[in-house]
Amino acid sequence: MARKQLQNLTEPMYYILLCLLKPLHGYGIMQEVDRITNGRVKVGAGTLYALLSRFEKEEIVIKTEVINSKKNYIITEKGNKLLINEHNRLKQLVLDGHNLLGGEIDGKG
Amino acid sequence: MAKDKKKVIRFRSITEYKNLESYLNKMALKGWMLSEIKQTVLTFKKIEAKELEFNVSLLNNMSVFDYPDESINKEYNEICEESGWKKCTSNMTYHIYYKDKNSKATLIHTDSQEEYDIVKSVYKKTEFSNPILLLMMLVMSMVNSFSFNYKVLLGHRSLFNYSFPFIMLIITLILTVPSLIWFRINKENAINNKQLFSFSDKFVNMKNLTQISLMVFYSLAFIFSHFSDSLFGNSRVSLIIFFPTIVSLVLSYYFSKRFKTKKRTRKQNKRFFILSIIAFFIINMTVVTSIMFSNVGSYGRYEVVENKNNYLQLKDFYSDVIEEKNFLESDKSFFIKEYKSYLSYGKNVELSSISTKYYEGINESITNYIFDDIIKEKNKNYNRYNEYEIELGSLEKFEDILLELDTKVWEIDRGYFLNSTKTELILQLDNRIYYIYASLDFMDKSIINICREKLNLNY
Repeated sequence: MARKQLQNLTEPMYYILLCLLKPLHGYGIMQEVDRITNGRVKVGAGTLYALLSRFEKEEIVIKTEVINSKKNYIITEKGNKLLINEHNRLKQLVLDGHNLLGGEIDGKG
Repeated sequence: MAKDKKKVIRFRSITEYKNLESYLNKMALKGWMLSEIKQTVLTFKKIEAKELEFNVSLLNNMSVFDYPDESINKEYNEICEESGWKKCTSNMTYHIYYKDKNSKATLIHTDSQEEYDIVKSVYKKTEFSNPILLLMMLVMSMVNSFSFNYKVLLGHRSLFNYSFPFIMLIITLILTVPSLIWFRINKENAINNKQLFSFSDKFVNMKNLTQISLMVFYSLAFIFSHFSDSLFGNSRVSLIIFFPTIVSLVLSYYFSKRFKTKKRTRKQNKRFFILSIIAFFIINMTVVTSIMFSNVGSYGRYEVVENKNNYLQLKDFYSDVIEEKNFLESDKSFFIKEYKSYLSYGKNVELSSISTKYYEGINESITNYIFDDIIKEKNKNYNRYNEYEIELGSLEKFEDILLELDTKVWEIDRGYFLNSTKTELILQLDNRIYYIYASLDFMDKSIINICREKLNLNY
């Protein structure tokens, strides 16, 4: 089930991996996701913890150094590939939609 | 209990975590703050009444075999606290946080699928036995519903044993079904990232109250049925029933203290647990069987010393009986005023034993049912043991050997001989049934008169 889910990432998963392109600790990830999405996507502590545990198990992220007694995480090579694939998939989605909707974005022509 | 502390017993399923949150919110409004959470007991301390919002988080990375190590969840605590939540308390499964109602903090669980997955994972670890128990009780109830007979009515213990699966079925239904409904509904909600459904507080409170009431009723019925059951003969033997339960409770308390007070690995604790269970099983079997075998002479029966009038003895028919002994089993229940089974035996050339059974129902319907069911049972056993001979034609069918007694001579309502040699008979007078088995000529008027006199059939 977990393996199948990680082929298509949910929004929180996608943004967490984006944030981990550079080393970051738990609460820092939550703040960064909030900032990038202008508050649209919220990741709770429990959700973040569960996702980080799953990512670690799948070797998509690893722990790096401990700074100010906080564990930091960073994306791995495998995680990077997954993120790029997901990004490309989402780009294709938007492109296909753009072609079929004839450039109508947000109801504008 | 000091006024600034109180304990509340609260049974709950893991799927009721949202109801726990609203319960804690209400308690905080009344000035009680949760200070400790155990399996079924919540401890509160007195605080100034506040409007707080609680968030129950589920983590199940520890088992009963683990030494409680807060450092395992240190990172989790830090993230929660940095995001605006304060730690209230936790146990192996529940990690409870709170904040002021007006302060803004992201909820601890923001993804429905993740929340659903963790509840499911915790449920599998902590409540996996409930659906299995439900299935077992369902099967036992079905088996019991086909095996009801008059013997169930004879004593409180037999009534309890018969009804046990039905009571447990209701309890396990209440325990299991709401959780299964929760998973069914929320499986869809999780996929669609909708907020997870939870039952109303009223429903959960009613469910838990019903469950507790039934469990209390069941426990009281268990105690009553075993201590009121004179079929065991004495309460010392009845205590065998409680010995494994009491020892289990003592052992589980000891394990809990041992695992939680000294740091050992999970493997070491599991090994100790398994060895203890094996040792407990061996000791338990040794103690129980030695008690039972040491009382085998009087198990269920005790020797009658006084001269009772409502059973037959060898000396009623033969004056030269040597070493006569008379044994009695007796019982009663809500349906039977009295059930007595006598066995009189001794040394005599013509007759070595007489068995008399006496049943007195609370009303005619019950008595009629018992009478008919005894004959039905005899019929069934006769046909089962003599099936081959009956098919060959070398033995009569039961309905052919079932001969009516002369009700006028016996002055009874009805009666039958139950075997071809006419040494086994059953008779009914009002709410009383007598079953007699002895190698006597029960067609002989003098024998009949002795029986009538001795069994009080004159009134």
